[in-house]
Amino acid sequence: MKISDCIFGYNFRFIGLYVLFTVFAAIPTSAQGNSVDQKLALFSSFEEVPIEIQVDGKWSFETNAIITDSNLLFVNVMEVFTHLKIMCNESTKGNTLEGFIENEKKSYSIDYDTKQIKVGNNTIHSTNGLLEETGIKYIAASVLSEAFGLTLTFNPRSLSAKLVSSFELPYVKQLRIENARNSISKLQGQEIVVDTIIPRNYHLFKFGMLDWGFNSNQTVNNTSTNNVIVGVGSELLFGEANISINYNDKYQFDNRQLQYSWRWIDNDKKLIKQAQVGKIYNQSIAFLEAPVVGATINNSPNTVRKASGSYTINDYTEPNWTVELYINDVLVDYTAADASGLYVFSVPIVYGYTTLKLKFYGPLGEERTEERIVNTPYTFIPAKTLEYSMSAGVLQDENGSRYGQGNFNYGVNRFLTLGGGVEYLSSISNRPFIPFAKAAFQPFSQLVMNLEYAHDVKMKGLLDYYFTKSAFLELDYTKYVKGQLATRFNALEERKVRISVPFKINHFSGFSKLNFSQFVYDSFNFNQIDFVFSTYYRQLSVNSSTLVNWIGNNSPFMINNLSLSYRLFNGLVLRPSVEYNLSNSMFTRYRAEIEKRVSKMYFSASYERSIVSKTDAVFLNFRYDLSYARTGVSSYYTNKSLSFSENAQGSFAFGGDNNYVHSGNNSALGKGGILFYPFLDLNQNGKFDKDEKMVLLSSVRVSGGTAVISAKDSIVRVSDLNSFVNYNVEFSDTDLQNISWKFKHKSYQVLVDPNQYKRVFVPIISLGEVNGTVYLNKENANKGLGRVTVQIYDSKGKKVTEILSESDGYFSYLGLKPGKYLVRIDEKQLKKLNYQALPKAHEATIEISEDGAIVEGLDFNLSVTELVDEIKTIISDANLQTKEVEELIENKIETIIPEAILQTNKGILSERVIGKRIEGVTDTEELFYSIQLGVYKDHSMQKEFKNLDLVFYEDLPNGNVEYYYGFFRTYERALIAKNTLSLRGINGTSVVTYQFGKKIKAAALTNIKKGDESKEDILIKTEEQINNRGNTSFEKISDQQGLFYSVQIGVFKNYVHSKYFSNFKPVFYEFLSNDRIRYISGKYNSKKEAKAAQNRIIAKGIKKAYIVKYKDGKKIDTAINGLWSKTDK
Amino acid sequence: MKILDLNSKQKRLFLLSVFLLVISISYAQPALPERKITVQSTQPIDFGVFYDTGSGGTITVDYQGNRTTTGGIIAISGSTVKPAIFEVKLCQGRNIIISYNPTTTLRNGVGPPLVLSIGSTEKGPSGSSFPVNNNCNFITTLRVGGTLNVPAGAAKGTYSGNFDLTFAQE
Repeated sequence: MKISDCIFGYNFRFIGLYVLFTVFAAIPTSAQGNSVDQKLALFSSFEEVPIEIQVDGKWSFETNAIITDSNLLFVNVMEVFTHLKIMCNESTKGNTLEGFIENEKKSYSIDYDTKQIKVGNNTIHSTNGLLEETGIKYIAASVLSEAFGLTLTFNPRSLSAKLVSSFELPYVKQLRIENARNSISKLQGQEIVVDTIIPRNYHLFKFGMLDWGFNSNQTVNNTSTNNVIVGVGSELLFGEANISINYNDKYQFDNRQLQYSWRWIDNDKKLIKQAQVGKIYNQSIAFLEAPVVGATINNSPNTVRKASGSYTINDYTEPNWTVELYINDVLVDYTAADASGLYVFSVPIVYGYTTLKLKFYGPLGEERTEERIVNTPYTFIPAKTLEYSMSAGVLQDENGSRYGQGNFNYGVNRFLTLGGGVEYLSSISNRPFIPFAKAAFQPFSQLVMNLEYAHDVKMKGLLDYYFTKSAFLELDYTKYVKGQLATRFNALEERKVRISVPFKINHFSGFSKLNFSQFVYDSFNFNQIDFVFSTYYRQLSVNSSTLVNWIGNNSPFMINNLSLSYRLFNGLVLRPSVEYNLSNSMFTRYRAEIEKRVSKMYFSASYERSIVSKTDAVFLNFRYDLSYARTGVSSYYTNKSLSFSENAQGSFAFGGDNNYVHSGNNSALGKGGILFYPFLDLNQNGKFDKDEKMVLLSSVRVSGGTAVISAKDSIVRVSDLNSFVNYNVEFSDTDLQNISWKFKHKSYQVLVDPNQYKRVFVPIISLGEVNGTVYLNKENANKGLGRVTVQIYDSKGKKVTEILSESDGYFSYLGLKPGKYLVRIDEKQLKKLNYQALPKAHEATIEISEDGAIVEGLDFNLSVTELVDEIKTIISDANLQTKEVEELIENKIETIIPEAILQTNKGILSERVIGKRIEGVTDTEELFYSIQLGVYKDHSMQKEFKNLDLVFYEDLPNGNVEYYYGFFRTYERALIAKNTLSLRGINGTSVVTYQFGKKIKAAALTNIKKGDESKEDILIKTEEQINNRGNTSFEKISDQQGLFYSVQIGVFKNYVHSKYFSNFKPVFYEFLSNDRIRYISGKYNSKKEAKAAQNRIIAKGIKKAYIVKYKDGKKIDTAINGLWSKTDK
Repeated sequence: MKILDLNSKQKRLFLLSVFLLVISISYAQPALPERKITVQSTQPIDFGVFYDTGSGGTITVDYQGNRTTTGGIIAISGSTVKPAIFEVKLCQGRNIIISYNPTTTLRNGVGPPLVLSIGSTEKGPSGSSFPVNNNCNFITTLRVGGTLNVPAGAAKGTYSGNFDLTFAQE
């Protein structure tokens, strides 16, 4: 009870703190909301830039975003959600995005008209957080966090943002599931999808591999021994043939020192999948005191087939080393040891007879090819499958005893496998035949039971139970038949209990094991307890091992070995240990060892004193791993005897082509290799023809192997692979020097042939590229247009791909095979945007070329579809309501068509608008405004007017033509437009008011009905504007001569009303090339003055104001200035 | 019995069982009454599983079943380690002198044999004597240890062999 109180108390405090923090965090946010900055945000410039979004530190993607002057981040909702695999669709009704996050129950909608976001039951209103630009819907990062729990932390310097989500993102979830599937498919051994499978090649004879080894021992004043090992491997009669000899100069050679074997595996065969001749190794019941020479066959594939359930291997290696787990020579899993070196594998139970191997790799690239082989104690077979194994041979003992075994295993169902057979050994005088039966039972994944009965020999039962993921209990019991002669070295009964429990508490990790064994004989029992307790804390590890044994009722013998291991920072490991006899209460031995491992070098020195025997021992050991040999020297001194030992071993693999011989420090027998020939397949026939060239790759990924790329001959060699095993190899186009080259097949599965290198030709094809730019013709100026879908069709009219133009309009696609293509803009998109493309399509021919043909300059000019057609289409759509019609048109043109016109003149409207006769257009009851541009002699419009969206004319009675620009429902809009015109150099314009197709004099405006507040408002603003007309705040920067400093207020897309800059007078402006307007404040002779002004401006809310320098109206030194002003803050 | 990996690796695994077989029984002084001696080799000495890091060395299992290694030999914990145990029954209490050859060889049927140095025993080295309980039903156990010399480059496998222990009653 007390404990739980304490926990709750803590939680409440935590919640309290959290609330407090939230409150404080909220205050500055609201304060910021009132700043001038936010008001200006409405007019802020919008730069669409690509930014990188990193998701939970796991992966990243690029997306286009808008970054405002004040570093507010707006992301493209559709794009981001698509990357995150969050469902996001445009609603059929209104201007809304909808979908769901996390799960179907949590739906959301983002309404860009009402500026409302609904997520589940929550509704959030955000006026400034939702933004729509050229039809693309953006959302502010802050709103994304608040509404969706997707927090984006933006770093403007690196143009990247970190995304942390409060729920499991669908993409992450998908990755997780895919990973899980991948490892399962790995275990099944065949499920990995590859596009090319290279099967076995068969040869009557093919050489080969060579192993060598040498050991020499010298003892001072005594004899020396030398040992030589030579092994040869080849392919013989379609199988793997190995022969090796271990010669010792102190012993006469006899043929038992000769090892030979022939092995053949074909998993596709039905009756016999594996065969072996020569020295064979079998799991025999009887004890075989000499090797068997004979043959064995079975129908078990050597692939890894996963059964249900798993068992755990846990042990220690060097800290942070990577451990690989191999089942039947196939890499199935890997893990990293923790800081203490503990690694845990959950080894899946695999069907059939299996071997497990572990390989260790150091963090600095060290590789320890120590292979610990673990034989699985039980055999499971897939349900309804029968597997057999038969072997027979002669023992190399003095009598030439005959041996044979035949057995089968049958998978009854998922849980039960039954087996049986008979074994024969002629040297067993009384009962040479041993019939046997087996059963392996796994009722649930944590429990495995195995029973074995060998007639007149033994009965054995084994039970493994995992009570946690890695802690287990094992009971092992064997009872031998008294007087049996089949096995030796055993008791009548053997009882074993094993408990293993690893633990981890904060930085401590540890491991405890208890083994109890009892050997029952006729007259007494021999009992033994082994208790190991290891604990690790940072660099220190402590290991205590206690051995207790006793005979019958005799008093036990107890001894404890305590060792410490301390890892110093320079890589030295100190290892003092003592042995203490608990029975006699005395120390019996102490020892100290120092060890250092650097990359491929290992050195250790130890001293040991045995108190009981009064002997000292000193041992020095040095090992060095060369790429072609493993070498070592050691020296050992004890009991006044000094000895030395030297050893070396290595191997050669021949047949690597181009006179290449691979030398390694591991055995090469039974291994194989792959030679990849990447070549440029110009004629694309998949064959390496004479006139085709090899291609040098930069990297190749081989699962379970290492590829060595030769710069000399471009051959990719993969050595040291296991024979008869499939390896997956992946090629990536990014590894090719030429961007236009692609691999014809990217993933290969290669079955390794025994004792040789296998050639695999890898065709690379050279692809063509098309590129061009999409321009938008607006106001008679061409501007690159991004996000336009460009489609490429082949000569058969099949769509090859579609690509999006970049923000500057540029598009390119690399990946076209030689042939003819048609490149065009997506019709649907054009229709949606009401653009038309010129030309409609480009024809492109990709020629055969080594470097990849490029067809350039496939430019498209888009322009707004003639308004006539457009508006005709909109208006003729009877399904649309008037308001919708208006909105649609609003989206196309900035000026507003009065509702009344639409209502009354549906039929003729379009003609009138485009006919540009202002009388007709303005023939409506409602008041509206336009800008009178000026009077001209004829209809040849001024050049500068051609850039304007909507220009109308009125034929005056005197034959002259009066030009007008735009329709505006409010006077304010008209005034803003008028000012914009003056900024563009069109001066002398005036706002005019129209009603019933006639211009209304200013005086007549007073007749406007009262209650129409907006119009009154407009009038006031008109006065303001008129009063300010003489104000020179908005002078052009280009008119300012000489060198001066100023403070940049901002760059804006739209004209900014002078009232917003009233505090920053004098204000100058300039048009920028990207159609933006830059505003600066003040003209200062020194940077110091400018700095003071900058501070004043910042204090007034323009936080990003910075100093700029101009000379004769031209900006200079901007980059440095910008940087300086940033760091200065 | 055990499956061996054909590919020789840096660290070689050995599975070692040393079996001691019989035993010569010598009868001296036949004039004395009831000198019937029964000797049985009950438990073989077992060195368990170990591997060599390359330089060779020794592995010792003393008569108490305590395993120690020298040189480059690393013992794998968890594998069964047992001292050899003989049973001696002698109805009339007598002293027994034990003697044995200092070494024997173990073979795995493949490479050169390994040399096993026998001893010491629970009662001391070769030539030691000890009294036996004179109750015919009482069994005196004699535990024997040994040291196995593993040269560098020894082939991996299961090695086994025999050694003789001579019990002579005084």
